[in-house]
Amino acid sequence: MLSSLNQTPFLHGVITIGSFTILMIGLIGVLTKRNLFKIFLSFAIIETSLFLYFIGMHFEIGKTAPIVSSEVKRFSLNMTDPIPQAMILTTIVIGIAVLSLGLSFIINYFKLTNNMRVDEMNELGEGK
Amino acid sequence: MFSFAITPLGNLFFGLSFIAFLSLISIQQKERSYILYTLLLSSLGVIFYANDLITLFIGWEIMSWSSYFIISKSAKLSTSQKYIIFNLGGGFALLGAIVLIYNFTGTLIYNDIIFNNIPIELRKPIYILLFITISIKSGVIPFHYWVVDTYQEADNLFSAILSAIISKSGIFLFIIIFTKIVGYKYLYSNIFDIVAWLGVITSIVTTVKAISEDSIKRLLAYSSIAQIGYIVTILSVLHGSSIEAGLYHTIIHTFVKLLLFINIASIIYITGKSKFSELGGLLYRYPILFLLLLIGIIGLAGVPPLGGFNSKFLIYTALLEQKKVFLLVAIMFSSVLAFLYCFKLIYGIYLGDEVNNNEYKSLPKSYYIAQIIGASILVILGALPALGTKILNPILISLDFKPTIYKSLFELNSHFASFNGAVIMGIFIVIFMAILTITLLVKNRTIKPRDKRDISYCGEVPHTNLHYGYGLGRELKRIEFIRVILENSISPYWNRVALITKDSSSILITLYNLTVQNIGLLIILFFTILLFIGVK
Amino acid sequence: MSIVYFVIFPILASFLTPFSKKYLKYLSFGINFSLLIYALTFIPLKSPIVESISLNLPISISFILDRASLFFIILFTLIMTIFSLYNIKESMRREIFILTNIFLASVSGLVLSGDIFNIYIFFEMASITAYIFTSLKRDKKAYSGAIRYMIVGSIASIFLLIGIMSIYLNIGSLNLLIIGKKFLLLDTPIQSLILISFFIGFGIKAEIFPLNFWVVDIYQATDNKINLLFSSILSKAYIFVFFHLAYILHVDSKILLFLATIGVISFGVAELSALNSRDIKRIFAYSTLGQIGVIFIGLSTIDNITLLTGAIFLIAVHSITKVMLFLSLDILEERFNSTNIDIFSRFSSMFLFTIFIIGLLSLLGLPPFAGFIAKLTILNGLILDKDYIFVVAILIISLIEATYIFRLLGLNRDREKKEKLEIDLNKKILLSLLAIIIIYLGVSPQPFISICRDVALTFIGGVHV
Repeated sequence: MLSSLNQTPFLHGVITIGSFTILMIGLIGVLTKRNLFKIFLSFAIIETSLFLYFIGMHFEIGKTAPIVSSEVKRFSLNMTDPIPQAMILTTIVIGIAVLSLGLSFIINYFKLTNNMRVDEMNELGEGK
Repeated sequence: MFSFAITPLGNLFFGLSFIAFLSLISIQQKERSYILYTLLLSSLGVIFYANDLITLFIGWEIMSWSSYFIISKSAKLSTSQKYIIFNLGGGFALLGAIVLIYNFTGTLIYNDIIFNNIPIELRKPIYILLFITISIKSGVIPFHYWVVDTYQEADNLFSAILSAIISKSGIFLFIIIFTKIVGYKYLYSNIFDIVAWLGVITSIVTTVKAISEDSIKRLLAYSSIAQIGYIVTILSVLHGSSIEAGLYHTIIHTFVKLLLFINIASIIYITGKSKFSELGGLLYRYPILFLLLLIGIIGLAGVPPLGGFNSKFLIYTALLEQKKVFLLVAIMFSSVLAFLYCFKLIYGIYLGDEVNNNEYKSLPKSYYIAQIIGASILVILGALPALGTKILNPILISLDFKPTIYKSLFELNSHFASFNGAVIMGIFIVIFMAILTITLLVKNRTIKPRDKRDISYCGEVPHTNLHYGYGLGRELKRIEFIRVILENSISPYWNRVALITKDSSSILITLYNLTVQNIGLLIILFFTILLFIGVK
Repeated sequence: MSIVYFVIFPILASFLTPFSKKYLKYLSFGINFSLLIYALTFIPLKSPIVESISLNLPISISFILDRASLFFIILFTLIMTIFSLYNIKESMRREIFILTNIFLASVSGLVLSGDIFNIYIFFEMASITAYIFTSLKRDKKAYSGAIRYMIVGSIASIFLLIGIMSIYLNIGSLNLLIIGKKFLLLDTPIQSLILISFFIGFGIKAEIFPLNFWVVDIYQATDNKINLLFSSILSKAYIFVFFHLAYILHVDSKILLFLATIGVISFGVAELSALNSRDIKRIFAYSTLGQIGVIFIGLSTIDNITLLTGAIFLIAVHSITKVMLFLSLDILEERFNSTNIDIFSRFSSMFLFTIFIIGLLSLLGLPPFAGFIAKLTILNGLILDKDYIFVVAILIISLIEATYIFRLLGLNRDREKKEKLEIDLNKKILLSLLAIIIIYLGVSPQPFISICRDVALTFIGGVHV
């Protein structure tokens, strides 16, 4: 019975449910939290959920990592798809860049206004 | 892309505008932007000499915005806004019609357009769009909202151009579209009856409004709308003789309004006043101006012996010929009413008591040029009424109508009747001379009161101006029909449109002032809605 | 001759920053101008150029240059050249040099990319430069704007990621060619999920109606010179990608109708909102949104070439017009230190006023300026499709647009209380050059229309399969 849990469809199910839950957590964070840090943190959470889902859906039990070394000379069918992993690596880098930029904005903004709440950001708008 | 053709019709209209511009340019004025005037005149040239609809439209829009910049120099912002929005609205309606025509006929050159290719269900929208354009330019009733304020607040001399030339471009468009492009043969549509009646109603309503108006320029503005209302009506009768009558009236009205507006401009220049209640008794100071205004008014009222009568005569006979009796009665009614404001013009300014005013500026000679041009043309056309026919015949031929036959230049023919202008003029001059001599003979024998008020008011001198023209139209309110016209106005309705637009704008602008989280929420909501629809 | 230079050259040039502190302005002009010349050498292009980097087809990074993308590249480099020419006498910070270079590289990449993941990368690159651009003034407004921009931008990139992932999970490729071939074989729910995610992701960036409420604030926070880049380049690049994908994914007529409707609503809402605005920057932002709505109406078709031609024409004209307007506004703001509409009644300069007249009237689509031709062509195309309601809507909304445009122009009429405005010669030459372009395109549009027609034909052809 337990062996059925060790099958790819089950794993994919778990990953789908799990990453969807994380996505929802992040989404709720983005939409309800008022603290700017928390909002950006929630964005990071959402992105993580997407990464998890994408990588997880391309992982199948019994396959090895797509790494070419001195022993394994070329890609084989026994490896998982390398493209999602390469993509996600790139996306992670981009995500971190955006996040750090965002944090620096928040810090600068806080220094100038002493305000960290998103609903009190009222510098812009008609007549200002 | 652009094509031009020199046509008799274009020559007539451009000739009129050229004369008007030249006579106005000769009057020195501070802060006049010659670039804009040149642009305006050349845009008029583009309109009148265009050979395809898109060239016409380009000229049309340049005319709108270049005149906006001239008007906005002296008018209030809200007035010039009104002017440009209405005129652009008309322009956009024209654009819609042009694009529709192009799509079904494949060309925009006047002579190549085969209007029969347009499906019948689309013809009415095209007519309506074109009528919106024409009505806005010529101030037919629901669209006359912009006219009066603009004429009043525009520069005094520019009002003359607005009334004499720019309002005529609507008439030009009417003729060019409905005779040249559509062809009168295809036209029998009930829309034209509606437009004819709208024109008459416009002229009656604005005539009544003019009578009770205190500001001189507003009175002239109303009168201008009324006169162009006649032209719209007579053109909507859709017949060769009506085209002739309409064009004749266009010529007369151009010169009459040029004369009157410049006359008023000179009065305003001299005295600095622009209301009947502040003016009066200028006859003895400026007899020449008085005489010119008199000529203008006789032309405006359409009574013999001056040229104004010719066009009225043609209009009446053309209506009779087409058996539009009710229209004829309505136009006659409106013309008779028009006598009242004509009388007000002359009495309010030149006759009656002189209002004390110490500061009279001296009037530059150049102000007389345009007036003398206008007056002499009215007199010449009065004596030689068929001269107009002679000018108009090539136009009628170029538009595929029968030319009118005339025996001599002195005699104006129509379907029913004819009259000899020279004879009438001669009789008039004889009578005029006789009266003049009698007056001059009697003048020295009559005893003048020291002050007219001594007798009239029993020693109790009122502070307000009490000359005859001032209160004219006040008592007319007792007539139910006139009271209804005077108390109702189109402006609340248009103001409501403006208000609704403004309110919806202030509602919508809140969308763009949302906090960023709400924006995010909206985006995700939108996503879910789309997903819901998409999956279904 | 490689098309990758459009992306690589500006990025590599950024590394010159520390070595040429004094000459950065000239260097920037040199880079942009040489790229413009380089792009112009591609004009005799007949068939699209495809270049792949490394690896074989399923896992390659490919760039595709066809007539449509070439048109956009030329437009972008032209505007960047104008931008750097305008700045040549201003003091320029070093960051701007780097940022403009990366910005140009990323928008070129967006237009050239042949696979969807590359589009994502350039999307993020462009976004990051845009965030930094917004924050450049380093005051409260700038940071507030940058944070807003970033939050909305992150939402957009999340949706984009969802779309890309769904594509890869279901199609197994990222190459646009292969996606285009296989997309219609997918199940309908997956198709609609992908389409909707892309619509949201790119729609936010392309500033289309229910997704554009953030735009105006960002424009207000940002410097005029940068707004010019946002309005004329960035949004246009995203519109290109948006419709490029739409054509590749073979969207059906219902969706196109939906896009056109959204375009009309976008136009109407933006122009109506602008009526009550009293800040010139915000007014220009609203008008950008409105014009983007019209462009959407024009591009939402796959068979009506007239309509597409009009839209392409409008893209070019609107970019040039907005460049002119924002540069003129920059001159005004520098002098009066405000962007309230009152400043319009305070300056006295025949030259600048004429420039504003030309720009704003062209925006409104009045003859004899270029905007008129664009509008005429679009209306013509709409009537060909018998979309009379759209025609009426566009005409009425244009009237609303006229209200605020002429209110703005009408303010500059009193001669009293005005300050004379002196303008540098190089700015004068530049602005009058732009004005001449606008009038020229308005008076003799035929050659440019045929170019636009060509571009439109290539554009709907997608990536020449």
